Amino acid sequence: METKVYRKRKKIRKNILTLYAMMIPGFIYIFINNYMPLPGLAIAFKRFDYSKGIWDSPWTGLSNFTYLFKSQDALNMVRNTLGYNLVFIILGNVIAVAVAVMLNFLKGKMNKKVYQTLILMPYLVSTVVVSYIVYAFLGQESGFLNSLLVSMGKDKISWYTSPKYWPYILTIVFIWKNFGYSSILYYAAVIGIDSSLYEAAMVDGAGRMRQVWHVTLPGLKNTIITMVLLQIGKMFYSDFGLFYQVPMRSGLITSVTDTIDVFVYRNLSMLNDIGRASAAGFLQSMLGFALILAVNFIVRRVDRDSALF
Amino acid sequence: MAGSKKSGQIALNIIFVILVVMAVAPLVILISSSFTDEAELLQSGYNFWPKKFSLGAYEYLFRSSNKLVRACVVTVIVTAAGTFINVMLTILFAYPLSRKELPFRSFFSFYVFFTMLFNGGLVPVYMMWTQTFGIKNTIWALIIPRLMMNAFYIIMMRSFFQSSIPDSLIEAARIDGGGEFCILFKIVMPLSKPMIATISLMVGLGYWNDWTNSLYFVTDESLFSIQAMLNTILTNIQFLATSAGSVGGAAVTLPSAGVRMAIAVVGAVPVLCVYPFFQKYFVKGIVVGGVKG
Amino acid sequence: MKRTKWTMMLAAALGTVTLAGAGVQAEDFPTVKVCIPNYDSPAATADVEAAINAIAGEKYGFQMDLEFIATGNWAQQTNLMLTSDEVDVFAVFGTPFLSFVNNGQLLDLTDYWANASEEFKAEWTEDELLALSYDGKLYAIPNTIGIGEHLATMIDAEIAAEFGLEDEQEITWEELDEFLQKAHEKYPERYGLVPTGGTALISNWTWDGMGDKKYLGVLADGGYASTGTTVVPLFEAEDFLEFTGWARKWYEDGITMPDILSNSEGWKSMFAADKAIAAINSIGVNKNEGLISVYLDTCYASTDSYHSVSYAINANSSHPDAAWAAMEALYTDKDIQILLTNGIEGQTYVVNEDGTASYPEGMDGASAGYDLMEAHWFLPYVYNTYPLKVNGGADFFDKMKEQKAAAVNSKGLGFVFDNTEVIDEYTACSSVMDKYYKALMSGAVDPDEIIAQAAAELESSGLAKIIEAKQAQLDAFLAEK
Repeated sequence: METKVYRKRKKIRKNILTLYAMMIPGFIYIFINNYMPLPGLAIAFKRFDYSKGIWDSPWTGLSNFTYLFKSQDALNMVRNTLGYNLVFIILGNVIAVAVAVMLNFLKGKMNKKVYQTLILMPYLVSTVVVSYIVYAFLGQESGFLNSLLVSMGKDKISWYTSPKYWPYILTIVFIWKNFGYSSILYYAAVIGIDSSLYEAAMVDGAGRMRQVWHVTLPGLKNTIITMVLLQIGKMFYSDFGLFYQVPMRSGLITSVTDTIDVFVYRNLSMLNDIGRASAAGFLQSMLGFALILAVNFIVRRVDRDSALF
Repeated sequence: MAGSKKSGQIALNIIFVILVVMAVAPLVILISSSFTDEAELLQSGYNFWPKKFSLGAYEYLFRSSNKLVRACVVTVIVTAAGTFINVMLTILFAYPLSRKELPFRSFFSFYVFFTMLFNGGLVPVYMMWTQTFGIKNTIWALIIPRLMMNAFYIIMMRSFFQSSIPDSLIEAARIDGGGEFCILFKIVMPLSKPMIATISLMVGLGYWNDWTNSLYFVTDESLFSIQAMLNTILTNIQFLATSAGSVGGAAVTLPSAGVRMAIAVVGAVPVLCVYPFFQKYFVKGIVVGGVKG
Repeated sequence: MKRTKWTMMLAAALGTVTLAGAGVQAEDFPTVKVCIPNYDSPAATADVEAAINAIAGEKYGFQMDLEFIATGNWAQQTNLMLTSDEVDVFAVFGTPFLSFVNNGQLLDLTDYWANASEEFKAEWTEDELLALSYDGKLYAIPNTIGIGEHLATMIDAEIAAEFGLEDEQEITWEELDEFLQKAHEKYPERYGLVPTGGTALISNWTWDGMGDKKYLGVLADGGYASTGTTVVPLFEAEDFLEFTGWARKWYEDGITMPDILSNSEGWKSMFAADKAIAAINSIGVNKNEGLISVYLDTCYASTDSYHSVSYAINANSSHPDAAWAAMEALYTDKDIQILLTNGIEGQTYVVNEDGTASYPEGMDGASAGYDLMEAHWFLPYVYNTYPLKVNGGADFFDKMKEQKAAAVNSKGLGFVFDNTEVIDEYTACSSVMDKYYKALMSGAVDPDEIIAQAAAELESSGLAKIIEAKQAQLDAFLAEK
């Protein structure tokens, strides 16, 4: 009896050691790639002098952060970043889940493959090229939309100088570019749902919509929550290409198209001040971290298993 | 599949056709511009159908074809190697993380997750990779930094293992005397094909589309990936357009809009060819109950 | 990589000694890495480098590692290289000169310059060097980019001939306006004016920012306006108001391309496609095929002119002496200059009878593998090289020198504005400028309305403080002269 327990414990220990062994390569890589450069965040608090290097450059306290708040545009850029991200998270996930679920219900292998391939295509094109395509639609003189308006007897709109349209334009472009890609992950999760659950629901007389509500969505719950939480952590960041390239760098609409990343890039490309750029990144990380801690805490209260940590 | 009525199917197909049209239509502009004569492009802009058909853009690309071919080869090697290493590392890390019996599990989860939020910044990252590890201007510079592991995919994989691989299966294998590696390769991985395929695809796309590793760590243009090549051309154009006056009225003939579109097409086509290969793994292979038949 | 080059050179040097049996000592010359911007990386760079090194070792005691970096990637890649000793000699280009100084990226060249050869020192005047100095120290050497260019309008040669305009003719704004109206009427399918500043008709005009590329406080009319040496906000400068007025008029009259704000095409391709009648640009001595230029204003030279491209040494360079030797070679050695600019004779260029150079028969820049002749303004010193035939003759560079000598120097030449004290206001005002400057310079917006709006925003972002600082620094600078 004792030897059996002993053997079992030894086996468990051996298994656990093996598990740790598996994690070693990844652990090392993450340490090197992500943790080793972290002390470099000190640059945010220094006046970085290239000839002195990171460690010998003088400290400047918080003065690298002030420029983010002194500008009138500062409030705008934060509002834009958070606003767009909120819309993107909600809309993006809803559409991605919907597409994944619909794709799952579709019969016919060929159909599925073809549709799935085609909706991935927008993701593959870089945002600079996307900006040209958008220009084809919104160009002042011969853009499709303006031609359409003219043919309907209305006036042309100068899209690139009118701020009010751009929240819609950028949202549409974002969804267009990403929905195919985001639906892939949800699709993999959807097909992982036990089919016997669907059969049980059918036996209970549930139609398609009720099946989705009672089987599919609960099955996806963990995936959705994880995805949303991770996206919330990135809430203070934005897709640089989308907000810098697509508006064709037009200065007159920056009140609605500038996000923190674009603002920092625009200002610092002329000043070339690493300290200030680093300060902005530091702030974005801290705020995102705080946000995700808060949201994760709430999720934990509601459903412990779904929380990230 | 449960609940498939004919009319439902037709409706679904219609919805998808609409989605596909909306997704692809703007890209038709892209493709048709790459086949349009350059002067015509300047005259009448982008259109859904080439007003004047011409292979000029592609000819221009293939004249400097050794550059393009080399970029292709580089991209393929980097993507293949990088994806393979990444997925292996991810699986090896996510599997133990999914085991509840692993001590300090939440520490490791946080260890991974934290990296998603904080970033040392470009200069420290650069200095580390080039000075400490000396990978600048080598092919490793395109594979190792930033892309070889991603916390997001580790977490996704872990969640998948947790929710879709029944513990009873693993327990049974352990009782039968299986070591962890054996369990991982013989049981867990075959059951995780959809997730592994998905993550491979996403990692692969990450490598294929990446141009920032080339920009930061490589100055030797023969090591550039396709997207890095395209990006160089595009930023050259932007740079010239915004500063033309100050450098002697730069009278250089920039690659025309058609050529830029052609490069974008060339960058995207291989992915579309490879994608169906991944799609065949998007099938159900999930066990019900205790043992997989 | 540097290490491999070291080893290779070492091996080569040893090998040479063994084979030759005598002669040159097996010295290892330090390798000086030189980075130059260009539109892409020419294929024949290795050949040119080898040819240069054949001269450089013996004569100057260094070997060169030559690298061309695309302009689009330039800022990012050089910044990263400057964090260590990866590069030795490089062009100060893309980001403002003073930002390099403030970041500690440039080596102090004052002592090197004091001991430089007479030949080298004779090239540049004190004022020119002042434009690249800060706090009494010299940080960069100017290059031979065309200084004192005319502010002109390029016009399609055929159309110009129809309306009786000749090359190098002087013209007033009103005459230009008249011509544009008539020409556009006759050729409505062409744009009257296409931009050369990307989305602006031209990047900048006669105002002198004194090292400040955001023009937050300028000397109007190149420092020669009635305001003389008073720093004024850009939106109050006479020449700015004049230019934007004309830009607006031409936009409203339909002469400028309607989509100017989202333009991404080069003016050269638009002329080539018969899509343009004219474009405003700064014109040097070079000629453009199929175009003539008429002059709108005299040529000014200001600090800004010297800030386009200049050459400096990395503060982190591990062998600054060798780097300086390389600089001297680049600026004084005729053979190296020809190699660097034209390439290898017979392979990448041929010398014509009249002393100009062309690509070998049937080739162009891409196929010949080396196209720096076309982009000579990126190089340190090109006066001794063979000019491209299309530019008009062997005396092309002499004409450039004449033009520079004839240029009217701004009163603020040599003064560089240091913004470290007002950096927060500068950042805030820069972002306001970014919003409005190009739009105003394109004519796509109404100047009266927008200028008022912009001026208000600038004021609340602290423009007054910047102007005050600039004026104080300028006065101090002028007093010392």
